[in-house]
Amino acid sequence: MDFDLCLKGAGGGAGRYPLIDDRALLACAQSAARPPWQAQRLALAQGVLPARYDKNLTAISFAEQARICSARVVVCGCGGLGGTILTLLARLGVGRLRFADGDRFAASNLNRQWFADTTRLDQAKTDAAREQLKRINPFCELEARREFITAANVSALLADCDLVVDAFDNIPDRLLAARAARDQRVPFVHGAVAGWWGQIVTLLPDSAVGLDSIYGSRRARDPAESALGVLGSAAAVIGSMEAMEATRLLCGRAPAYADRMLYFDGETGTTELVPLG
Amino acid sequence: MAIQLLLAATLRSYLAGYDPLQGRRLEVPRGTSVRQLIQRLGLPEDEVKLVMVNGIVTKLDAVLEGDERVALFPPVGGG
Repeated sequence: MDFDLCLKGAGGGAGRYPLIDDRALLACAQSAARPPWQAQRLALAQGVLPARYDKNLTAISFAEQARICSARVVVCGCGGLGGTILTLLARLGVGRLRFADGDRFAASNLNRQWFADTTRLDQAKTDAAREQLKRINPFCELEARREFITAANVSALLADCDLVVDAFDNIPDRLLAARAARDQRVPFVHGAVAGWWGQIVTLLPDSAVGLDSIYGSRRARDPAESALGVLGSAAAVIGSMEAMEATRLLCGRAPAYADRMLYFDGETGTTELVPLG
Repeated sequence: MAIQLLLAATLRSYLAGYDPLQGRRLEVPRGTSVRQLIQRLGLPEDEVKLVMVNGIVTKLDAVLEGDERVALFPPVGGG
């Protein structure tokens, strides 16, 4: 069946835009032999809003939603930060989500990692993420990379993306990805957590500062800091802030944390904004 | 002279009885540098990567004149 005709028949809603629900849009995609994400972009191009994004508006505009639906975001890690970030970005409607992690779920991940559950122990994190994200939003094109980041694979991992989001659990991988993002001239949203604490900074391609201004010459985590563990709520707070910063950038709006660090102290429930450089 | 010291994360465990909500009010000689303050308190200098004095990022050799609010942040690295 012709896609436009299918769309016309399915579109409804008395609001600002004609709406189409998941079932109808998936049916249109199938009848036109197109993948769901392409059908979604065609619908948006014709002014039809997938009903699943109805509550994103008017916090963001229709045009911003369309822009988000054609963007590609790379999320480095599918653990505590990554689970939160990927879930929120899939629900936001990011068109293409590429995510990498070489790890499998262990019992100690269950307190904070959204893709971990008791039936998925020993499962590859990227497999669990793909499964879950496909259920959350079948209109996201998912690119799972079951690998740890290395100097050899980093440029392929970041190729043709609009934005890189840090969800690593160690400092060297963060430095590697931040450098590669700068080389490829895409923004890098850094976030990290331990215990009750966390931080977020955005590095733009022309930023005067780098992750060195946070970590100095340190390349290993302080053992006392690792011993703090990570509370699930702390990872979710920082992951949510990273997802919100990603939302601003994908909309083409000004980032909130360019060259300045928000330090979150969950023990006292306070934040500090620290200018860098 | 007195300053108000605020510590985050792992640094809190170095000061017995530190109250995270109030911070710690300390008497130090005028002209004390942030580095001297850190040494005097036995804090690990390696872990203090970011120092703010009255909301402005400064270096460890910044000199204190009294009544400042000194905040020390160790960056975290987990995920």
